[in-house]
Amino acid sequence: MNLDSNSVYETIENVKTDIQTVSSKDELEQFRLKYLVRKGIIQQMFEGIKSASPDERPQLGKALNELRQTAQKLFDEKKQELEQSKTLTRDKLDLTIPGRRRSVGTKHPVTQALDDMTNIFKSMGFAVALGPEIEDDFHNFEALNFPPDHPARDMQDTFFLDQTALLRTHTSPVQVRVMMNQRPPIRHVMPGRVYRNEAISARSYCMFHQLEGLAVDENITFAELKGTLAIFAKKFFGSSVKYVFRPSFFPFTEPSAEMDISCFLCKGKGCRVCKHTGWLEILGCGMVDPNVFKAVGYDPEKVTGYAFGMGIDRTALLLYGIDDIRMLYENDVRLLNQFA
Amino acid sequence: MNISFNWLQDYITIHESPEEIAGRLTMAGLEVEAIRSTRETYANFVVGKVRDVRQHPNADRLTVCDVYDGKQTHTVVCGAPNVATGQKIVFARVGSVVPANGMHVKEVEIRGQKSAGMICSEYELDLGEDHEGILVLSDDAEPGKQFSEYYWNGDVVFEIGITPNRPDCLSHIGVARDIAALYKRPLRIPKIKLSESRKPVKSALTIDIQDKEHCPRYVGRLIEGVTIGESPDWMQRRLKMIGVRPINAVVDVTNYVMMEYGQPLHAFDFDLIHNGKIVVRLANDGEKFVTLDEKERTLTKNNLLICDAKQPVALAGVMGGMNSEINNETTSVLIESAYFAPSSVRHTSRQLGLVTESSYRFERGVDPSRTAEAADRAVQLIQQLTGGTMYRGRVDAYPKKIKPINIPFRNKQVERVLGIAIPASSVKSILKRLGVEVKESKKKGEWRCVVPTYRPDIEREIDLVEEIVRVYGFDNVPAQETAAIRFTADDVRPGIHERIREWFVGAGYNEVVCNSMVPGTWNIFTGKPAVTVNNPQNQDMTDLRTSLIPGMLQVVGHNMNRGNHSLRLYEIGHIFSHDPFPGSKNYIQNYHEGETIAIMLTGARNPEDWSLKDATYDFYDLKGEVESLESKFNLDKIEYNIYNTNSNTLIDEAVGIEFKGISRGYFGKVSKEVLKSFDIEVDVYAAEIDLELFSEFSHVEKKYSEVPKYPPVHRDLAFILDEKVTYHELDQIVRESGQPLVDNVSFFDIYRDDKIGNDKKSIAISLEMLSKEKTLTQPEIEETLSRIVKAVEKNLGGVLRS
Repeated sequence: MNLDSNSVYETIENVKTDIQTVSSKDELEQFRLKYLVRKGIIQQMFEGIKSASPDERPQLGKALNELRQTAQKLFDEKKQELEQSKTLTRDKLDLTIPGRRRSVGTKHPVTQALDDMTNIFKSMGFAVALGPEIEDDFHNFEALNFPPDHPARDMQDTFFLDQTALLRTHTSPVQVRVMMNQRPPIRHVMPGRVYRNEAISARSYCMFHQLEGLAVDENITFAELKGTLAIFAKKFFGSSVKYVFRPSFFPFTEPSAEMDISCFLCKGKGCRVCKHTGWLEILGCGMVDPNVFKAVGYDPEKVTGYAFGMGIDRTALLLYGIDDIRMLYENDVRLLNQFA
Repeated sequence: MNISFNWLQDYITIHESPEEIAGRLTMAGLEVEAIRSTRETYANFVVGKVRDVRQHPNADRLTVCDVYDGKQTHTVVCGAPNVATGQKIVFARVGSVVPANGMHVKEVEIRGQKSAGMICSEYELDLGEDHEGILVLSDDAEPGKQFSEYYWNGDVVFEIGITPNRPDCLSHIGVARDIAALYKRPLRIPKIKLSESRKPVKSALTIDIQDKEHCPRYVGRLIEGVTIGESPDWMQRRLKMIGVRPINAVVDVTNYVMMEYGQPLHAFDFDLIHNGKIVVRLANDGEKFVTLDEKERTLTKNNLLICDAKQPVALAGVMGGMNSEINNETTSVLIESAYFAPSSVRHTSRQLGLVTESSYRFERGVDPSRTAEAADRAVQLIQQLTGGTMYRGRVDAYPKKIKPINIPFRNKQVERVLGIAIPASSVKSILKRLGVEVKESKKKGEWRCVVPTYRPDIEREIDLVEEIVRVYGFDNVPAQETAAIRFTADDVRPGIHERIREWFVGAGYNEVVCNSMVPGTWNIFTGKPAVTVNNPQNQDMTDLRTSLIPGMLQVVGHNMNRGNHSLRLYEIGHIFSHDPFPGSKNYIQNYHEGETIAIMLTGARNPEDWSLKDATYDFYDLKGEVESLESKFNLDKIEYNIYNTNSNTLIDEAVGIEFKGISRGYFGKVSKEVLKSFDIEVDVYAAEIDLELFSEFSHVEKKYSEVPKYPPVHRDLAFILDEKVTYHELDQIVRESGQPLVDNVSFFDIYRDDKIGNDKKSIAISLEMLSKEKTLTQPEIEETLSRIVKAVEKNLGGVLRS
């Protein structure tokens, strides 16, 4: 091989061009094999020194050293660059890829409404009491001043289990149990499930949930009942809610009232949900009837009391905008997940 | 109860709009649930005049009519055979809605002929059955006049939801009386003038009440020479307006007077009453009677009957009989007006499943003081409408006088109950307006109130308080937003439900709520004696659930069908049985009820985490959930054993949850058979745990134990063991032999292959060793490890895997 310094400088230029085309580890290896190994171009050129004239040798040696250093330096730089870029690629975040999530737990919409309501009353000094869902005629009707063969019983279609046992039609029997188990003062709320033998439709189901309230003490008045429920309504439905109490009839309270609130959907202007009245009926209430006190062994001359009861499910439907009550009990997780 | 606004004004002067009266009634406890206005129902229906009738060019049976509606003439195609030029008819303009069927009247083309409007039949106007021909009005009808004015006088009907305590308002006079009290206006009760013949009624009619408890009063009146025909338009319109179908003049009068006075009446064909004798008695057991609806009823000795000398003629207060019904040949009429005991009528009505306008009023209580007046009113109207001759006087059998009751009343009770003092003068005025007579009493601060007999709901002082506030206005009682309360501290363990739910929500579960009434087939799975419902709504709701799991499986099936395959569900609810079960309470004899928590897992373990996408739930996931839940509630004495399934076939190879020797629940993979019955084809894992375990045994006291000062050392060991050796046994041996340094042992792998050998497995565990006094040295660690290896070898035949 005829070696001269020109061809060495030419090779240096080649090395510089080649290294620029390297963009991967494999190509870098190709570069190394071409120039830097024992059988590579540069070593071969070093071998060629032997056949050069002695006066050329120093100059040639110097040029070859420059070649080797350049190639090595470019190789090292490229190697480092490639490694760096590799690291960068690995750590490069696509911020738009979703994270690894956990499923979010939910409480059933009915439970949520029930808990929210219960908590409001807890904050107002009410304790919580629970009772059985299988009741007897005494607790569900008789002690609550529904005499046998009385038309008031028609207000609640009942599922019977035998002559006297039945599925409670309201949470009011828990009132009876609380009063029989302790003495006044009583200030309790009683959440729970109740059953009515009503045809299943978009508007009604054979079971639903109620929140019952009871306060018995000296000096409990209808004015206090109104105030208590007014505060409840403001806390639950928003402070701008309006309310009205209308006379009604329940055997276990006298006087009895129904409480309507201004429709929270149309703000009282009138809409489909409130049947264009601007009002929604949300609960029944009243002063505990003296006959109930007698049935549980309290002296109606010594204590007075108020009671209230509200259906949770329908209020929950209105509140959440669900238009078919049956959907609450189908438990489609796509519905449930909306109540996180 | 439907109340006609025009009819009301027979008895009271009203200046207010129907809406205003409805609002005031609602605020006084007579809830007007709907207001139906004829002006709305018959909007765009007017009196029309037929100016010309021509044959339809393309249809034999149709005519083309020119109808003048007071403003212009419309061309209308008509199919009625009776249409004729010059008739006054009811014309439905384009844009009206037909009351009978909700059809919108539009401009249409019928066989090539334009038709703009409709000539109406009685049927289309919802006035009767006749739809053959059009309704022809009298000649004096003025074209262009609104039909609602012409026919209904612009009347409005209130649909009032009368509560069971207010029978006095089940009539027009009753509602008018309440309006009179609310507005302080006089009430006009119809004045009844009778033109009677000389023939005394007692010569023809005798009444024998054999059971005065069930029938305290029975009034009879006779009228003869009656011709049975239709009642006049004015009466028919009033009845139709409130939804009562006209039948004939005599029957219409009885209905009219019932709607006027609230007193149900019955009219007998007196010629069919044997010996002119009425006997009121209880039926014999098994006695048969055919009611007006042509049904034969079998009676019991609790049913009150109206009989003649020979046979029963009516079911007292409920329905008359076929054998004495008013018919076209009837000439003599016996009018019955009675007071039957409410509970007696209700009993019969319920026993026979027969609810009538009559039974509805009697069981709530009619006014025993107007019994005679209503009979008089009926014969007066019958005579007015049909002619006939009235017998003189009435037979009034009243063996058990019902007197107005007398209630002692303390005005201070008003303040005690309501929280607001109302001046005595206002209270007296309200009571007086309600017909309550207020007398002074000898006792100071007390009055005696005499309550009219039409208010059977007012029996006690508290009922008077209610009446006072009802009229005074609930709005006028302030809402007292303060209360001096006495605190109670009776909740021993408050909020266990909330705390459990908190855990489930944190652990990513969806709460479900399922029906407690289930098909009987579901309870076969648990083998517990199920409680059944006597009157189930359908075959899918015959039993009360003995487990929450089947209901949740239905939810799983439902979700799978809708493409929701990964489910992580829980429910907290009551279960029921005739037998006691752990956590059950026996509130009602023969019934046991308890609350349980159920967990259900199926599908992807965490579908929200893409790195774990393919991992599906298995047994150890479920077990981990159960363990985590229990550790959250510090239930560290739980033992897991093979569940003695007894007859419970819900779960295959179930693991039992035992606490202090009592089984508190079970968990495992739901059996294939059970899944099949819910059409579920994938694995489902379920657990059910008694809630009492949490409410009674979760120890709430928290106590700190010292956190180790010196760092722990971790070492892993793997042993080859016989298949029959359980992890639990290995864990125990390691803990025992590793004392005192081994602080914790945890499982990390199980492995089987041919090299290890058949019936062998390799279990890898991780040890945590520490000392409370110092940092451990290598020799100490080695010494402990070798002790453990020897113990495992000696006790379990396990070999350390190198």
